[in-house]
Amino acid sequence: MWQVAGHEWAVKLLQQSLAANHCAHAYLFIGPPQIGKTTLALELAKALNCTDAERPCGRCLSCTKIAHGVHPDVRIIEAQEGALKIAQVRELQREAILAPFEGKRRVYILPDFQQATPDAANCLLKTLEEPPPSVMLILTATDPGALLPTIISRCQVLALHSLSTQETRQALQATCQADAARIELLARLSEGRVGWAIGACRDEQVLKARERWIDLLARLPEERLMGRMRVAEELGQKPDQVPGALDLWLLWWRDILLSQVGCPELITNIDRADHIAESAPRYQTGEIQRFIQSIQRTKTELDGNANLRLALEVLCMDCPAPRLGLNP
Amino acid sequence: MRVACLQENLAKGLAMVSRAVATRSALPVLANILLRTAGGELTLSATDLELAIGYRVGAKVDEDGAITVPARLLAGFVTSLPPERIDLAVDVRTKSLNLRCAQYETSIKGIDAVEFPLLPAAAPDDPVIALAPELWREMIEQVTLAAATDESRPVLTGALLRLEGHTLILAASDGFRLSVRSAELPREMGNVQEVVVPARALQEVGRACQEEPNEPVAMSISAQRSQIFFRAGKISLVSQLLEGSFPDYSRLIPTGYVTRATLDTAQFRDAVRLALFFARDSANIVRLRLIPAGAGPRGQVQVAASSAEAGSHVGQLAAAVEGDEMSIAFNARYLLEALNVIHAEQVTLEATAPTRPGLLRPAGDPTFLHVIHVIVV
Repeated sequence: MWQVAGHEWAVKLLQQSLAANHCAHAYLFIGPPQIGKTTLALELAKALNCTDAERPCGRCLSCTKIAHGVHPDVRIIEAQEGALKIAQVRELQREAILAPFEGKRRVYILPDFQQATPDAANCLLKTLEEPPPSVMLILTATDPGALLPTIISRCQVLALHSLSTQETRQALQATCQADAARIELLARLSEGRVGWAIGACRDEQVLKARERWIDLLARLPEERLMGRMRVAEELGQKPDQVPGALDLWLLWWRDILLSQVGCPELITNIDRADHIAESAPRYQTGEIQRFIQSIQRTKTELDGNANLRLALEVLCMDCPAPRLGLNP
Repeated sequence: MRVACLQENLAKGLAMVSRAVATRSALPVLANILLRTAGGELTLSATDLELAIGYRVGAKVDEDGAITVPARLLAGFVTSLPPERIDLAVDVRTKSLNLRCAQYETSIKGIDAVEFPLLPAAAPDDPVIALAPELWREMIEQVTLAAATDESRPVLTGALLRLEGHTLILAASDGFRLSVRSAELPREMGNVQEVVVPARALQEVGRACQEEPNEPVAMSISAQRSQIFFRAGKISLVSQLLEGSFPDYSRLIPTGYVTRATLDTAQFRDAVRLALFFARDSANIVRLRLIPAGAGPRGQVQVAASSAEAGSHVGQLAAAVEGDEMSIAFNARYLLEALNVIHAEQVTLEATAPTRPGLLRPAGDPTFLHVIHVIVV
């Protein structure tokens, strides 16, 4: 059984290649962060090394060792200090010429290969083109545009997509013990990033942080100018959390828009459904759209090194004020 | 696990297997030594996934079990204990090894033995070749010195091991020199078999031969697992073979010669060692002048080195020289390393031209030859 949530077509394709003993020597899994690219790579490694008839069985010694990260022939090579260095690639090449120690195939998984330095990527080209016979390389990347074209052309590329809410929900039900409401909320919040959902399910802090940002957000439209400046200040104190908070806000306003156009069942923040339903009619559709664009613009600007505080202040001032009267 | 053994045996075993412990590795368990009891014996093992060394320690086993403990700590600690009986016990719950020796009681934290890689074992039907440890040691010493130390061509960091008919051939080359050594096998081998063994593994085999000089050392190769096994008494050694084909070295060996000098090995070695003092500053260049008998009563070999800072030096050795007079230059360090492993009394040096490699071999012994690249000055 492949312990992968979603990605059925990719699993099927890999199973067929395994059955025909016709695997590529190098794979590149492309897709958004935390949708299970590395998990899929590990399952492929298990299938290649499994000693059981049904591969991967998930129970044999080889599978257990891979799952615990202690298999001598399956190695995940992660970026150090934000970059995959040439020294790590050389180390890999040194090891790769040896036959597998315990299993059948040496598998090297290089997650987020867009983080590799150009030197490291170039150094890997030769190995990627023609790895030693018992070696398989699996690269993953979020953005194929950030990879050298020579890297991409040497791998079989599998472009993975975000999971559907349904698939994420099933994955959460299978792996986590949590009540239905929490699973539903996480499945919707995850936007198909199943890895994030499982992590958030295990770590209370993630949802607590979200509560904080949502509270701040819910307060914003009601505030006058000074109050909005204070919100911007509060937000700006934690620069590393700002991108995440902006994503939450984007989802929030999407919910308001959905609620207003009459699709309240599609909203993400179901735990705040009442609040959303109540405030939605108090905005004009155009206002909501403009603010959503404003949030997106702020995100782009922050990626481009804009002044954090100024950008946030402008954003907070752009926030539409609700019409009074409907709800005194 | 509950075992009792003697401190000296355990310390000896730990020192031997420690040589295979990984210094830095992605797997923390590889920095540990595995202690396992099976069949009334205590086995120590360590591996860096390239080389694995096992050692059987004579012990009294009361209860079977296994654990891994940090190699540096355990080896250093046991060596420092007094030479008495050590009682070992594993605490399964805390995953620690308890040692009791004389007035000391110790508990060392370890990692579960399940995490340790499975060590490969030789298949019983692989053909076994057993040779005397002294022969293995000499062959390994003569060949591994020529193996490359830099990793740019990984296959050259190993030595070619070739089985053909009644002979075993070991060869290694780093591009500047080539060592080839052959030995007679006690029985004929079936097919021709060629594998490349990491030089480091062979050096450990050489060390094991020194430790266990009394029993023949057995070797077997598992082609499909690409591993090679050695067993020397209590020590067992497994190495991964290097993948890739070893370059054809036969073209590098000069055929015929223009000048041939036969001289005393020890004298030649001393002369090169002295010349090295002056060669050090000038890329280790030592110049040899081979002068045939026609010019004097006997032939002569001049060993000269000089550098602008240190000064100059000339040594004159009596030698039997045939052929034309010739001046030829070598890297003194390579020359010295080769002479260090030639144990015959007389050595011959054959040269075809000052720009062609020289051939060094023990006089009257066809089993070893060493080719050294010249330096063109």
